[in-house]
Amino acid sequence: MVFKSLFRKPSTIQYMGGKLSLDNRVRGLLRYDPATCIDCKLCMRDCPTGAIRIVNNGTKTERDMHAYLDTGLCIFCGQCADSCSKNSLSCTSKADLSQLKHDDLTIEL
Amino acid sequence: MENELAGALTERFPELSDRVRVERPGRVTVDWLTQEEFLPVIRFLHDGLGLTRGHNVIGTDEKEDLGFVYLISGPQRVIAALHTRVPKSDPRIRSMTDLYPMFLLFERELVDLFGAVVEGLPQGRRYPLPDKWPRDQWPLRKEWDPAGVKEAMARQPADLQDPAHRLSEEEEKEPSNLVTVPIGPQHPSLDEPGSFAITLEGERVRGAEIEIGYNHRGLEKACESRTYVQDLYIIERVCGICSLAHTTAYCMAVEQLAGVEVPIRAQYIRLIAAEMERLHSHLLWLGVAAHEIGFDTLFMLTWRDRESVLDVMAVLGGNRINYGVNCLGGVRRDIDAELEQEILRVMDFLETEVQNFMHVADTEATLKARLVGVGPLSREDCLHYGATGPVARAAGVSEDVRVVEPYGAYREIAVNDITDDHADVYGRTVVRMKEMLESIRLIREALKRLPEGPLTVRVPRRIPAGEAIVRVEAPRGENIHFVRSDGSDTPDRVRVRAPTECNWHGMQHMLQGGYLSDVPITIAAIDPCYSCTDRAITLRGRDGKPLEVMDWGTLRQHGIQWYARRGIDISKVVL
Repeated sequence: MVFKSLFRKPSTIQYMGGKLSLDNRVRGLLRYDPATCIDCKLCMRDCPTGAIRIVNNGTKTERDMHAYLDTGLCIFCGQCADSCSKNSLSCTSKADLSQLKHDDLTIEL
Repeated sequence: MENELAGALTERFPELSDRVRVERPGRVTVDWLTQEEFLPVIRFLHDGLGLTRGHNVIGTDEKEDLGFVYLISGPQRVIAALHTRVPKSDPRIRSMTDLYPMFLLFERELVDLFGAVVEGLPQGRRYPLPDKWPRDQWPLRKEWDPAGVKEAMARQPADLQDPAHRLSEEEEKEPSNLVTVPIGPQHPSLDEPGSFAITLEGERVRGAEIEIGYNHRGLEKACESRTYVQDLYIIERVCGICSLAHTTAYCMAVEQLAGVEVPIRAQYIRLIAAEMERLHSHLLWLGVAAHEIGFDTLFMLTWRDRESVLDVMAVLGGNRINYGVNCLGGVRRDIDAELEQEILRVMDFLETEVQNFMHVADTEATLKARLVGVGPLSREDCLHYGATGPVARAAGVSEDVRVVEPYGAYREIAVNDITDDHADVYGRTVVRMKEMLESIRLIREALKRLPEGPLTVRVPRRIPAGEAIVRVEAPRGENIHFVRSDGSDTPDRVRVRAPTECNWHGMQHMLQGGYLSDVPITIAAIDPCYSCTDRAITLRGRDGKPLEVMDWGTLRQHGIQWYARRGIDISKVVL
């Protein structure tokens, strides 16, 4: 038993040099497509922590859409992606999002 | 069953005939009774019809009145929900703890959170709010304004010393051979905060005073101010281990109110996820139990095996712990052929491992010596204190919700009831191990029969007015959710009763007479989940110091000064 364990690879996931091999179905950072977004703000309404903010800098017809996500608040539940009727939001498995400053946690998607 | 109960009730109390309702199988609702009407009814149900098992007491806010919903059941496994109300101007109710000892914590909650005056409630510590919380601030009343707390705190007299830590005058005068050992709130042998004052005579435990409530986060209040969809994620975070059991119960309650039927494939996926959760919860428990008795090899092995389940759950749900499998009206993720193969592979691996652990539990003399006869809770005591889950099943009380009241896909895949007659920590270990094998069988069966079809059905944003009482079997036992809607998109009241809240009542009994060294494993044996129980920012002052609520900036200033006094300057660090 001991000898068998000696030659086995470790049970833990290797995280050397910041390369994390997560399955692509694991939820991580959101991806946002401003072209398809219709500014309905359902994602903002359903977000349990109020982490996401959709801003339209243009007009109703000429939209200029931006999405901001506070990764310090986001719990990565993916509800915004579920609520989105145009699939403008989707989940990626990007997970290493730590920052040195508190203010840098809010990012534009 | 439910019609017989309703019939017997209206026969004895003809004046209630228009208030006794049977709307769903297994539930009898009795609408608003006055206190005078309520007492004979509950006494009749307890003494005459044998409804001796108390599930919960739920407080509600009825504008001018306070409402109380008593959930009791008997051998017929029908839950009777008795509604009673008293005006807020005189919120006096009688304690039911003489009939139902398991109502103690629930009634303390009514005092703290609703401001009810419960007459006849045994003396004891407050629960779940901190000792310094003002006596006239009741958070779950709708008119409560959080802004008033700070001011009310300042009004509080500063000399409120904890009653439990203050010896009575006789004790101070009279020297005795009794020693009181405080364990917790922060202690290496506890995984979560809970305070135990253990009175010892030599090595033997003579008495135990238990105090919980350190993790009260006000989740139920938070649920009332958010929409049903947002609440799903709050409910998911009631507990880190059995998150799926809580969301399943909550979703089932909301679906029941909305009158929608969940697609069959979604029900199967819920079953598979629930059983996988049970597997990893029991593996976690086995590790913790092994650690408490100093058997750390077993701890390492079980926790390694638990990772294999978590990896599958991460793929299935998208997260390791708060998976987010459930959504209102179904499930969010599907099981494809590749994942199915992966699950089956993990099940084969776990089956051999669990059988291995069972072999260890069967033959290992040290393990048996540490577990057999420790923390006994007999069948009678289980029924008396309302124990649930593996604690009750280890004493031969079969109260598995999956068996007595099958829900979802359990209606199609029958669960074998697993009981044991050891009625001690060893019995609870055996029951949990056998349950893991049963879970593996259920997952295989469900994967084999997994029907095709849609995953979700649409649930409206506004939920029709009504009340739903739903129970599901979490890994730790029976989990009851009460959701009341007033027709808007936010719930009127959500009450989460986690299994640990029932198992606490028997804890004192389990500890008495045992050895001090067995205290950690006895506490661990009910698989306590303090967060589940307390559900809810605690503010706790110590040694009569006034309480202070700090915001982020003040806390940082406090930190900088604290380090500056010790000669370290951290003010240059930019956050």
